[in-house]
Amino acid sequence: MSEEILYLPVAELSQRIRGGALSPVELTEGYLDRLEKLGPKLGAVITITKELALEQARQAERELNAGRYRGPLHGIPFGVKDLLATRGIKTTWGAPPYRDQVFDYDGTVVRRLREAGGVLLGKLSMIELAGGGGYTNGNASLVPTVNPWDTTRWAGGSSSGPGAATVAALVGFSIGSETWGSILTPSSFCGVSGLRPTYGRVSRFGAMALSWTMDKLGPMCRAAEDCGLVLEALAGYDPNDPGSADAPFPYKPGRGSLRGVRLGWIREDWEKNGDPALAPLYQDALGTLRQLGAAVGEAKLPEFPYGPVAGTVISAEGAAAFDELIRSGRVKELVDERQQKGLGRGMQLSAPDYIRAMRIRRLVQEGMAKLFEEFDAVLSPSLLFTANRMEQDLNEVFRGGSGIGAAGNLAGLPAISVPMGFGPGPEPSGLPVGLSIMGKAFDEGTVLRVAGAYQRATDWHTRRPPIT
Amino acid sequence: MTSNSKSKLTRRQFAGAVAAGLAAPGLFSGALAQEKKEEKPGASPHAQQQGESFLERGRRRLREFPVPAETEPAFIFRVK
Repeated sequence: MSEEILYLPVAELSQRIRGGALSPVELTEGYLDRLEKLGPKLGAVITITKELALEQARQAERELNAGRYRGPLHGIPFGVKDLLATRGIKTTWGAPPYRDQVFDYDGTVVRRLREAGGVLLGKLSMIELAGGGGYTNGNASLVPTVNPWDTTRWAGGSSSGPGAATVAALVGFSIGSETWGSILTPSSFCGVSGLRPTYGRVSRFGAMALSWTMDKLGPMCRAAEDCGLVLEALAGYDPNDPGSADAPFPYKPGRGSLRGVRLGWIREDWEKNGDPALAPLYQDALGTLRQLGAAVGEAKLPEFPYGPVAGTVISAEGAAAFDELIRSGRVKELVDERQQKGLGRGMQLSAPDYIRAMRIRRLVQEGMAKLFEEFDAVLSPSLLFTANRMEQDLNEVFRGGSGIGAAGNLAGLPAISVPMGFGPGPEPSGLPVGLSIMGKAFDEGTVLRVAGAYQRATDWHTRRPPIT
Repeated sequence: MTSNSKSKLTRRQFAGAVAAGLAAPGLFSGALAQEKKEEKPGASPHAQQQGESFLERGRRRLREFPVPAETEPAFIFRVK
């Protein structure tokens, strides 16, 4: 199987499979070869499900040959972050205390992808416990993941494996999770298109709980349009997840201009908090969107203590989620000491602290809804810097910013990160950085429309890392 | 650079914490205690002088924020 085919977006693979020009079995074998060869080198994969993948691919091929077409994911190989339960297959949550954990059921996302005809290639690496207690650097994992653009650098987290595996074409697409930045960060560092859906859009049943009121699952792909195709298969109410919404997502790829679309851009302090060399990429992206017909104006985030509110909510819920791990002392088995201590600190929060944070969160939600009366989508850099060195302390790297990431996650709003260019880094490519496009609740359609239009006008998302 | 044995974080570390944006970035400890305005030098001398812990600082930031009395938490109990 040629590399050219493995790098194709899902939309194109799907057309070829449906037309009989591409065999799901051959495609699966192609990705498995690459996953076995490059997955360990990148630290992108924890478990490769080779036998299951080949069995699912053969079933897809039989069905397609018999004229039974399940939809655009039929026969498409994918990987999932190793926090999703898979029946009879290890689900490690990226953490030593859970290295041998096996569930006897599939998470809803895994089940829905199987029902859509997808082919599960493996369980992808992640920062242990999705970084629940905080962590020192990219090594905080059972299997640390390096960046395919520069293997001395980090792939981002906590959905590290999905980011690296997707951009390096080890999988057709992947599933990540975000509580506060865990899809958008690796998407920006790796140069993939990663969608954080609206809270409740996708069932979390069978996913590791870190923060019941903030966890989201979403697709990470090589093109924004692919995220729409995957989200369509995932979305919808699930009685097993009381937080899930009865909101299916029938995806309709946009084709036209962005005329009439109101986009607000968030000002960031590049000098203080990031790499000023990346600022022109953001300006160029805004210019491209203007040329596509959008009305682009500055947006002002309402003033709230976003960090303390998000930190309190996640810390309190995370301590509750891992109460047994903390109390048993097994928390000491985690790789990262900062994570060990951070989880324990959540135990010190009081119920009134948590409730107060949740009351302010209500105001954040209302403030963000007001912002979206002015704009159809809000733009920001996904991050103000490119991938950091693997061992670098994250407190040196993440220095501050507008608070848009915390605001969007607190309000449960959808956002996508798409590559908007390359900053300084190894020649000839450099390192990618993402543009974030955030929409109002349950309006992934607009987010994907803007991202799709941007990607039709640019080619950043088609660049390939120099990994062989 | 934070040592894992430290019980307090510096102002710079708080800033990192807030922005990290990695599912529960480093950092909750920092996030609890920080917000954008506090990054200004001298904006919160009280906290530094008193040597508040990050948890205390986080609580203070939340308690200082004016919340209208009628504000319900972002989740509410619903009878089914």
